[in-house]
Amino acid sequence: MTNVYFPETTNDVSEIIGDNIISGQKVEVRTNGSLINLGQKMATDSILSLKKFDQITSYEPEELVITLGPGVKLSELVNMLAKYNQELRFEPPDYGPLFGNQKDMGSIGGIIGCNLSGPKRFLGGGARDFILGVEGVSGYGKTFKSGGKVVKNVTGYDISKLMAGSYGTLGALTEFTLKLSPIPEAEISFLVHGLNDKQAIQLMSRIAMSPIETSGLAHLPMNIAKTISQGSATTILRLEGASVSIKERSDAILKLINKYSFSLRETEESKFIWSVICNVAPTHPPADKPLWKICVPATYAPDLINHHKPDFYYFDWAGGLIWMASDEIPKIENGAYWLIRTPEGDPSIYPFTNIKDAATNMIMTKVKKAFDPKNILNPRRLGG
Amino acid sequence: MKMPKPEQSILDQLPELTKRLTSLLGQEGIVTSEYGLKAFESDGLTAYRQSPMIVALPNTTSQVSEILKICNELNIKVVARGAGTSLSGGALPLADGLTLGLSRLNRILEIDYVNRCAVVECGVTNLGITDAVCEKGFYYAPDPSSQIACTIGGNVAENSGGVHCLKYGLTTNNILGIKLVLLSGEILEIGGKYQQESGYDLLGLLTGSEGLLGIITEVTVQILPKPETARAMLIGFSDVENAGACVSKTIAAGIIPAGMEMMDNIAINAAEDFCHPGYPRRAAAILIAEFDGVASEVDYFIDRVSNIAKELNATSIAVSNTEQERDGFWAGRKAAFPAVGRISPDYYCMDGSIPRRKLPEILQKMNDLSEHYGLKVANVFHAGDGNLHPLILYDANKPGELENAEEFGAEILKLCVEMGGALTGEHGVGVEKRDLMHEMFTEADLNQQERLKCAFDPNHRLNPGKMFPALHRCAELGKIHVHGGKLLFPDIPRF
Repeated sequence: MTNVYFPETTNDVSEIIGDNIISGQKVEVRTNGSLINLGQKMATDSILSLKKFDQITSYEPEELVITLGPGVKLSELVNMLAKYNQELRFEPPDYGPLFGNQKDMGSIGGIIGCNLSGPKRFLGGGARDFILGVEGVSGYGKTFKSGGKVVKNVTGYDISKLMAGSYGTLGALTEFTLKLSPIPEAEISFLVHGLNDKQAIQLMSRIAMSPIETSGLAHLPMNIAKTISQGSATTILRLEGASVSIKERSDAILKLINKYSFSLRETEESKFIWSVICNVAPTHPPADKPLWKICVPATYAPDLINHHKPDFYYFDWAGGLIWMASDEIPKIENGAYWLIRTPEGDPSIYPFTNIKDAATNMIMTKVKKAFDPKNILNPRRLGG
Repeated sequence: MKMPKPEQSILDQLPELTKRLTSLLGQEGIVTSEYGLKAFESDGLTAYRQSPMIVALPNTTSQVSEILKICNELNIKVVARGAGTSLSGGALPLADGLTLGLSRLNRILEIDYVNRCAVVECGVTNLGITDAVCEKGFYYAPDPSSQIACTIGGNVAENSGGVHCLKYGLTTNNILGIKLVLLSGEILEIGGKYQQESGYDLLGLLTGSEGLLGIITEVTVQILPKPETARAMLIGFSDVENAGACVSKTIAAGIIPAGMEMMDNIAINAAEDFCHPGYPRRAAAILIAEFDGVASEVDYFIDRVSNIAKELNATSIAVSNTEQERDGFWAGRKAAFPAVGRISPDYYCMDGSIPRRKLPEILQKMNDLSEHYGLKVANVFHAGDGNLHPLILYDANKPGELENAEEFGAEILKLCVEMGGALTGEHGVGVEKRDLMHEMFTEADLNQQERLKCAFDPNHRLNPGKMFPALHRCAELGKIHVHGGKLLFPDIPRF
């Protein structure tokens, strides 16, 4: 039976890791565990759950900064911030349902640990861009902190960024400080119907290159678009901001799309569409194929799809992000991929992610060693 | 300021190093004369000077790689330098070090408007990027005051900010990739023309690493479409508290200006004397707030901030109606440092950062310190993001005054940390704040940072003497100490 630890203090975490350093046993670091199937499969001897670090340590709305534990539930955090008219601008997704879990089970720890960002990422940055500071315990069993609690700070190495997307392989984080943003006054989305991939990428690029600030640019081919509209491939453009500004920018968007068939979705309908794009789950990617998240230059996206010809795919981040279900490993030269969900059966033939070359792999191994010399924290979680 | 003691064994290698570098770069690629080396003896922190042992001026990434291989083999210390505008002594040379001048890597390699990025060599200036892309209506957002001279490589090394980072973020939020040369000479491509890289965020780690982990020779930057409209407001206040409150209330109302700056009365008058931007001389403080976007949005936010300012008894509110007026509002702010340079023989520029709401409190405490040390302070802030730039006025020719100014500066930074802030908001640690790192970090925190350093440079050859108050041996840092080697409660099952 696997031991499960639920430490309540940083000191507890330090002792548990210390014990495992001596015994040489491997530890799975997690918070709530809704993303536990994300990442390379691991063999571990025990589980270190950080779910009891579930307090908001400090929140001063006028500073747009919050300090909290990894176990704070994302849904509760989002609701609490909304009361103060604030949000996490990187639009954290909920991938729980993709793995067969209930929705709203995830915690902020998983979002930061896996550096997961939603559709707004192409505009204002990803989870890693909003982390101001971290505290945690390394694989040395020692506590460490980096960054701070102010928005502008370049004191020392930016270990906070390194922690984002490290999948718990570098330390058990017990506290984060995040930068917040005001919720825009209003939002609307334009749905452009019937474009093929290439036309959609061209339109999204054209808009992204213009001063009309959009906070979402995605394209769903016909079979996926069924979830949100009817009958045809759909390109979705989101505007957010002050109402006066939305009106002016809408006029500018209309000039670019009036030759196509299009429709408009306001407030709640717009939010629903973007939650579908953000969380992938309601688009029902096939469970019998690997589901890939791929980052490439947007102009390369149509070629990639042309090469693999997958049944399930769509574009987000103005074409810079592709979701694709395919038995083939994504063929990319310039970009990154992650295997988000493995097919049923033996997934071991697929790598979790791509590391560029041996030299990069070597330096990443050294970075891992600088935090976890005995390789006990989430060993091989990131592959390699 | 104490620097690591020059190592005789390195100095002894100079003839061999010179021979190899000459063969690699030719005579025109190295500087060895006493006169020539003088040009490299300091950066923007001119209080500290030291001639390097030798300077190498490569033209290409592969030459950088070859130079580092030679230095690695001969155990030579390496200090990277872009344009030498660092305000924290990041490029301060070492008597037993090679200064790696990267200004000749100044080509723009690719501009990709459709994917909204540009690939440039490290020696391209910050403004040079915007100049190259402005014809198509684009720009590169981070805008440190030295942008006319500072290089993008230096910006990445220091994670530079600027006036507009309130809305657009620091360098780290505006770059997509780098080419990195390790001390071994290996060349890594990290990130590229895409949004997110796989594996550990080495891009994030290298940004702001101050030349201690590797040499950055190329950068892929994000470029943004220039906003349709930008307008600035110039708001005067008769007391500093209300100016500070105006900043807090604006942000708390959910309004994020593109930039929001504050200057106090000494800085206002220095700027007026210097370039006559039309600032209200009697104001205790002014705010310059800029909004950009579509016209209706800009007008809307200007109205809202005007109302906030009026409620706080602003003594004057002016709004720019033309580009010329907007530039006029900024002229005094941008010239603030030289303007202060005119009223004092020397000044010492600090760079602490604090939670915004603490602005009035720290100003009061700085006034007290100013009286205590008998030195005046002119204050220029990136108020919107709580980043202070107090300029301590002193005269280096008066014995003891530099030391007095340094001590005063250190007190200000300690106050910043006490108030929940940071030692440096955008200028970097360098040599300047190196010995204050313990104010913000414990020994254990610093040890963890040093272990990262060891992963890249176990012999402390890259920019030693910067950032860390002490150089520990990597072998010692790598040892594991766990509660005396005993398991705690080994028999207790844990659930």
